[in-house]
Amino acid sequence: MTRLVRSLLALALTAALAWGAAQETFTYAAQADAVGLSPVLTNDQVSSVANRHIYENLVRRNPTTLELEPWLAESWETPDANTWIFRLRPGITFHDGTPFDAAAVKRTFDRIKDPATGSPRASLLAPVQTIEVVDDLTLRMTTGAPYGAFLAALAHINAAIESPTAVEQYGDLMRNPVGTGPFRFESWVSGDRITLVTNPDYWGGAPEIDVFEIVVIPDVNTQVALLERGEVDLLDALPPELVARVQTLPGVTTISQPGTPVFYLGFDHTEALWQDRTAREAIAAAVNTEVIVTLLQPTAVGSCSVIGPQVFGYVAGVEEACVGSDPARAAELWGQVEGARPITLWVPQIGNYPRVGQIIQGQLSQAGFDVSINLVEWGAYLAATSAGEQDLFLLGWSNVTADGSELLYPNLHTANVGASNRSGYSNPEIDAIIAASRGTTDQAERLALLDQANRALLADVAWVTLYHEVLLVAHRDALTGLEQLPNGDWLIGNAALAD
Amino acid sequence: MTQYALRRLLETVPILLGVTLLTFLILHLSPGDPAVLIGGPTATAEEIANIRARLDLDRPLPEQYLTFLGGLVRGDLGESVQRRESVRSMIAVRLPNTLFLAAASMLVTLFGVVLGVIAATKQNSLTDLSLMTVSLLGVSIPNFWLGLMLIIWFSVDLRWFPAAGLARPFFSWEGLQAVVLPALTLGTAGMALVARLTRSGMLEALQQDYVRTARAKGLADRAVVYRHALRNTLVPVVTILGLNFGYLLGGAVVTETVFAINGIGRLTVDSILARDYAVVQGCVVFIASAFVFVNLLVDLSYAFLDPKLRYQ
Repeated sequence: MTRLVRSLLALALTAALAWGAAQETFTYAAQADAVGLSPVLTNDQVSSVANRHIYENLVRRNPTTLELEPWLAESWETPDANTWIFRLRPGITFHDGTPFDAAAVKRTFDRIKDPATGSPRASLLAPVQTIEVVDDLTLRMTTGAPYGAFLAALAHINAAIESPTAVEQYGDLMRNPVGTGPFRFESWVSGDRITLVTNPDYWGGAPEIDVFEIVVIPDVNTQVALLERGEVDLLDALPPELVARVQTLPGVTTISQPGTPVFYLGFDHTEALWQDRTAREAIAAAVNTEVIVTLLQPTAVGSCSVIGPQVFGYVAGVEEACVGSDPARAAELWGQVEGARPITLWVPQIGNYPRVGQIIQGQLSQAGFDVSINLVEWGAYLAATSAGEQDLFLLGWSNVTADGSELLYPNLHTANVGASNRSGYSNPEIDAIIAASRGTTDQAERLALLDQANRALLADVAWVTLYHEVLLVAHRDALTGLEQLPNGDWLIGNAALAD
Repeated sequence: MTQYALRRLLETVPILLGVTLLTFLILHLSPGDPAVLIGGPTATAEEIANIRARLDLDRPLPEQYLTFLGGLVRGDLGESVQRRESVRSMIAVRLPNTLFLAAASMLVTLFGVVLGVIAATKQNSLTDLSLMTVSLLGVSIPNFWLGLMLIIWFSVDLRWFPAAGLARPFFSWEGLQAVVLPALTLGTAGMALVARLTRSGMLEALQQDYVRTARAKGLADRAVVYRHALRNTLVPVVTILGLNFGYLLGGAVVTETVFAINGIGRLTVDSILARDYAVVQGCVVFIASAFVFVNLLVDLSYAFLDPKLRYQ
């Protein structure tokens, strides 16, 4: 009997040890805590990392081909340009057991569109007029006018589907997320870590990684030390100056991918000075973006195109429409500008902006401009640039949808002056082209329209594109199967850890 | 003394009211808007207006302040506008980390008293010179740099200590191991300051008549130094220690950032950057209360250190 008990105990201990050893924990170091785990209510990078693994969308961008493909929606059809009928994948349940159906999708989209919800990306679904449940697995949506970027908008993390039961229970899912994704929410120690665990019933097959931890490590040097010690598996916010060091670390792989974020030097077009195209051309001619791209290597790629090479709407060769760098001509043009005056360059105190700002100040000064820098804290900067207090300014756009219409419409269309169109740029002819690119679902036609808008914006020097970001991820060699997208998203649903 | 302590405690009420009002005004008068930060650069004007309405930020400022005060009286610090989380729980999660780090750093700082005494009793010797040079370095070195160097040497190269975070339970081997580097980083400047202060105070005290008298009476050198000279030197040192402890409770943001410690200082700075008004208010109330309380304890300790001091 004693021997039997001993054997059983030994067996249990071995099983427990084997289970413990088999537990694969993936650790990601984030610079900040997530704001919340409701995709409907958040718009920050760390929340997106977690939400991308907890929730899913009707449509997603394929990590390899980058094409939009069916996901929670199995297929769709468009009987006319304003009607979209989505057939949903059967047999999927949310983490709380609620069946995934058309009513759940409608509930989520209604919440996004409801002004009382205060969703930060409600504009994604603004063109949608009606959402109708046809049957359990069929949803019909109509738009007021053809919406060319609709599928790209549906692939945005803010349009991910929440469990209606959980929304009913908690009000919002900021701290109680329930989706259909490969990982379930386990716990959140505010300011410290978020723990997700594998969803064993995931419709696409349970992930090999058992536990996904997002730990808050604010200092990037400490992040690198932890990666070196093997306590962190992945970093994705490396500043250019640390890349060389990380690349020499043993057991660490660095992968880079040209991304969708674009960074630019903007003008306050509401000012008489910057309404003068000659003044804008003078600035564009004075700036040499190659220097900036070289400084930020390997995290930047040069192209003066407004729509970057990784964004739908870019056509190779569009750069010929740009104003080239020519400081002598810049000085000559500036001499012709009526009301030429000292310039203030507004620079946000975050990321690479201060360094880029200093370079631009130097280049403009060399070309004969009188430039001072106004370095402003990020929160104050967003408020000031939204209110139009700036003169020249630096800013970027992450382009999560990777669709040119969703870059040009918020940033350069008259409808968004005073909010996301921070430069106050308003050009009725270009407005019409941008609107047309959103108003057709024919993708070939859209591509042609976006290229036309891009060329017109470059010719008009709407802004000076400085560089497009190259996204860098450093991870331990033990990690395989990581999927990375050009908008900065990465996924570990199909990943594994070798040790 | 009890009456004095009670009066001082009552005095904290208007101080805290003033602090909350000032914080509220500074936060709301400085540029920036939590709704704009939540929406990010992509938000449209309509989206920002809707976020503002959802968070009740469109209510008049006096009403918002009075709501906060009403909650404060009931012990409710409100909810984070950004994260929809109770401010009280946000502070409660971080408080043990902050207290443990502050206590460990105070131990490092207190070591400065010992160093100061040694330096004073061996004035102008090599020991004195070395200690004062090290303490000058301690005061001068920026603590973010010191922290990173300690991580590289002791955590990455030697692997003696973890590089980030505090381990629970605190009073376990792992817990104590994890606090060593952050406590050294945070406590070094204070230790150096206290060492220099103690040394100069001791040098002055050692010249006094009562010390000469004590020595003439034949008291052992140790008793003269520690019972007579040091005790008379401690009043300014304790004042600095009290202020330093108050600072450690709320101002350890650099060390907390470098070592990824989830503490009150980092919460305060992150909340200021996010314009998360309720959280900033809650943190400021906590830090101000802690400061007032610690300094009350310091004032009360004077009576023990110097019986000539009386409270009225």
